[in-house]
Amino acid sequence: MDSKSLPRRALLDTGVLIRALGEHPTDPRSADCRDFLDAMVAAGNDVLVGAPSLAEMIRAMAVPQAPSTNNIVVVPFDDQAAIVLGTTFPMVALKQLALKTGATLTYLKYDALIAACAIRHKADLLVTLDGRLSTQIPSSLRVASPSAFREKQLQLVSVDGGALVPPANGTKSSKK
Amino acid sequence: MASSERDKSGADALKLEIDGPGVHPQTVDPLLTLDLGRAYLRFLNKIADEAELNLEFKGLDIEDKCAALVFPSGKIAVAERVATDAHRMLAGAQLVSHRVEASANEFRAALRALPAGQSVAVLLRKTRLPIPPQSSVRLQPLRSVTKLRAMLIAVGGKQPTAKFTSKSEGTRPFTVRLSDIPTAQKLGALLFKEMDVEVRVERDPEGLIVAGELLDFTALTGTDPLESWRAWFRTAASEWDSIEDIDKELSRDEVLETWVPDA
Repeated sequence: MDSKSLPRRALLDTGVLIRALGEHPTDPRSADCRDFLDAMVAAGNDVLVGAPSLAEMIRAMAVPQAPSTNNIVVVPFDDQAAIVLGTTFPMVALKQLALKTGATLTYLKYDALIAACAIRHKADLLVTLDGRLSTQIPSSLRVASPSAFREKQLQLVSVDGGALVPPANGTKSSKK
Repeated sequence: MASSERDKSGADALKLEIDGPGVHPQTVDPLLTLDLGRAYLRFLNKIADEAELNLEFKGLDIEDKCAALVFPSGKIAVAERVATDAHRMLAGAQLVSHRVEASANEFRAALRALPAGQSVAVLLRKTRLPIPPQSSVRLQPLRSVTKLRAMLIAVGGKQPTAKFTSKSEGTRPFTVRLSDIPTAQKLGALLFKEMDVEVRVERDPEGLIVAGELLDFTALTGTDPLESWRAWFRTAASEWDSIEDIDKELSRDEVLETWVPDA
């Protein structure tokens, strides 16, 4: 991950959290989610977990309290988040979005709850694998997938002596 | 400043109109009117900065149409876009970002300062956008309970209080009452540290915490966040590890939307 481009404060959508915390070796996007979370914590940046995501993740009858640790913060859906939800994602807009995208209204409601938590708790970025809500999200909240923070792979070319170096450096070094 | 013919037609100007019985340029309170105009322009400038738009106003006029402050602009399309965003924010239809919030509040305060019975509208080329009365738009619950990750920056007093900052609440610190001195002493050991607090808060009409009471607090564990969270996931949610299509499971595509309770 490119640590310089990481957001200071990002809320992770449920699909990202499940992949980042669990073991899904065959899921093609798990590595990106896991690496993004690891990089955020290593950089000391804030990772927000919306309380509705806890509800989606929990699959047991006896559940311990979510950990209170540095860097990873559970943020509640409180009265302020409810005001954001009601004004930014009104039901009329969600119904139109359901018709447009084919997503179920239940699914969109969960997405909207999570996005409202991100806005209310002043996240810089919502990290999600699903951009269905992005048309409805105000411009003050950016939306990106974990893979957007992968360091761009430099294209390697073969130069003098068989050493592999990036094209720009290769040009320079071959002139020396 | 004399207006050009173009400005008089209103084609390239944005207008802020104060309406009400007997309102004319000759009768308005000059201080309140100029305050209103200044706060409005600052609000628009902040929105434009956020959207990286170049907003240009040059000159000032006052029109006898009740009383309308006229702001000529060389980029009227940009001015109209920003004014429309501002109107949506004031109407509660668009979120006010935290960087714009202070200037929005300043304009709201200037609106509330106008004499009773006066209203304000923004006039664009062909559109009139009445600004809703601000007191009735933002309905804030007076009291609520919430949980916040917060840093303790001060604690003390005979009637003990604690002062916190929380990134969830922006940059402004807030102070809450403590139930007793032993709680203050326990908190004292956590000065300048982050913790999770449960607070009953009172907010002003703009949503800022103005008072409150600490109900509970939890110090952070100091353990490795990733290890702690992955251990929690193994206990609470490891069923997900055996689910092949996570997105399908989350989208509940196969589940009926209608729930029928057991008889």
